[in-house]
Amino acid sequence: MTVRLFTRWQRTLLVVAPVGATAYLYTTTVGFGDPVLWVRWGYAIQYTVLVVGPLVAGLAAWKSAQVGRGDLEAVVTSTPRPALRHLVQLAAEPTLWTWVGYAATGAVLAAVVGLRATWGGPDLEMMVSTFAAVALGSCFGTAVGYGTGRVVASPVAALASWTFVALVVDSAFDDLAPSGISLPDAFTVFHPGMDLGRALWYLAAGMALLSAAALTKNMGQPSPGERRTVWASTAVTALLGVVLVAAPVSRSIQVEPERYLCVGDPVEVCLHPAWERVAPAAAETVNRVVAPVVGLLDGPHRLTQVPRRTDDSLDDLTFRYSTGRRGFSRKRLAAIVARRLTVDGCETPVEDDPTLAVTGWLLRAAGFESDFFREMEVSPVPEEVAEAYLLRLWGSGTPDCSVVGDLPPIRPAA
Amino acid sequence: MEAAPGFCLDGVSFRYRRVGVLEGFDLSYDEVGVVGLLGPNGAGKTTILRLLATVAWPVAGTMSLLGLDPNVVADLREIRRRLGYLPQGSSLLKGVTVSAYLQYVAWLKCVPRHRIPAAVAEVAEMMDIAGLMSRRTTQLSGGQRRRVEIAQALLDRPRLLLLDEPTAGLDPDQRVEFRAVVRGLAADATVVVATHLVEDVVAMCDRVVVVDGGRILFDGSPADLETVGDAEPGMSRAEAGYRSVIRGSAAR
Repeated sequence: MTVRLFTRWQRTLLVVAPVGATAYLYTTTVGFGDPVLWVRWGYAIQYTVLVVGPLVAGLAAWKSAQVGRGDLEAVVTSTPRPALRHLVQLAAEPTLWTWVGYAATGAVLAAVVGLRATWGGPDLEMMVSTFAAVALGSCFGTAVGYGTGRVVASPVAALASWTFVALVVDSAFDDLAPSGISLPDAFTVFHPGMDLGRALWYLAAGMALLSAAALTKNMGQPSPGERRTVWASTAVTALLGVVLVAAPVSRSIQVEPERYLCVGDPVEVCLHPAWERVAPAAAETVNRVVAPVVGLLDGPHRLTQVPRRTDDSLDDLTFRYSTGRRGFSRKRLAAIVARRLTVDGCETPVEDDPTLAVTGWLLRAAGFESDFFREMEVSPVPEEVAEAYLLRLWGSGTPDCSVVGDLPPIRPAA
Repeated sequence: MEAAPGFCLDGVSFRYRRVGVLEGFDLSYDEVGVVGLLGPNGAGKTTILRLLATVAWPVAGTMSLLGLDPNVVADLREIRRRLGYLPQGSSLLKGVTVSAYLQYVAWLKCVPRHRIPAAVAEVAEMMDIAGLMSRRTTQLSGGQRRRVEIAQALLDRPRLLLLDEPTAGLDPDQRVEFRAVVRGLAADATVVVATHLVEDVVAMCDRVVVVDGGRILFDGSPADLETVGDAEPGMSRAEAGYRSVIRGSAAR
């Protein structure tokens, strides 16, 4: 099946340019971090579908509403071209030009990421899923626009598809959403096949929508081929939808790398290999935070970056840290490690939690104090108080669960 | 599949929003030539053309178009392949060039890809719109728009050509030229023209059918129409005949 393009190419810039700009802006703000990860590139482009998809739906609805209206619709109906084939043609143009926008921008960004990425490789499944989600948006818009033949179809289609995405993305049906909402990191591995499954679901759902629109507008008997397409696409949509939603595997999981990159002295800091470029700075930061307590007890000797908290010991502590949207941050890493050293496993209300004061002391000693005390509304504790608290915390082997009242005054005097 | 010329509406009924527009309507024409549907506004002319164009479906009765049954899927496709339809209102696609629009309709008409440029060029020459091909459809004057719309109906030389008020918006010279084009096409096609302009019918048609209220009031040749009623000052014989037919209907 070939698709003929009747739109002048200059007009397609109206689609290509905003899609490219959206993908570029989002990828450069979210996709590029420090370290630069391929998985972020794929995720960022996929995430833009949450915005681009409804826009494509609106555009397709606007375009097809023109054809599905008044006497032009009568001309269309009087021709031998099967209605479904015609709707596929209508949906194809916005889809193709959006794909061009994605492909052009994605290729440029891929070149940039390829030069700087420290981990992973381009995830083609995510791209396929993104392209299929765009096609679904276009099919939905085309079905609504051609079915109603009204100008209002455009905002309705855009709003409806945006609502669908917003409802699905953070629900039990999130495996049907075009993108997840949690930012992946170096530990994230996407389950192979899930994105391809979703891509198939999008295409089947799109075809089912177009088939339904074709049948409602069809004059005369629908051909056996059209009937078969309706039934087949609806059945595949339902079946795949159930399989995806009920699948026992998650779309993405967090796994530890086969080999850690360990640097630093006296405390060895073991990081995901993606962090190789920032490893010295990270190790230096961690050692500065840990330094005041290294001699207190026999540990810690090693801190390991992990995707999720696991059982650990004072000797071999674990911590979680992934780059946020702003990339690698010493200050944030220091705060996370300091907190990891002081956390007592108790559920003490913030206003009574002495560990915050001790965390603050660690950060001040390491030179990362900044606004911690003001933000937490606590005063720094003296060194001997903090050390005594940590000795008690690590030495007992059981949660201390002290409260502020158990320590010397740590609140500012009234 | 070989198609015979003409059409047959046998006891056809059609309702629009539950209001009966045609009830047990019979009309047939089984040869090449031009049939003119004359009648006042609301007479049912457009409905008859929409039925013949297979864009409306009768609630009762049978239709045969080009000797084929539109209720049979394969026949319907074949009928539409040989059909040209010009609706009364605007059928232009906005935002594209005239050339792209005609290519689009040619594609809808399943004209083979390699023949589309020639088919478009042919109708562009017939309707004298070759100079407009790169213009956008929204940049055309009323008369130019109508000529482009007619051109789409003529694409691929249809065997059943249905024209609803085709000369609306055309200037006198263009109307004369258009009549000649229709006469030329009618050499090997059945053309049905719905209009309220008696002079168009007289100039183009081999047969005239006057309808009003979904009923046939007159069915004959243009020469026959000229013999109905008395001559009136400032009117052609055919116009006087048409008025006489309509008045006679109203009187009954």
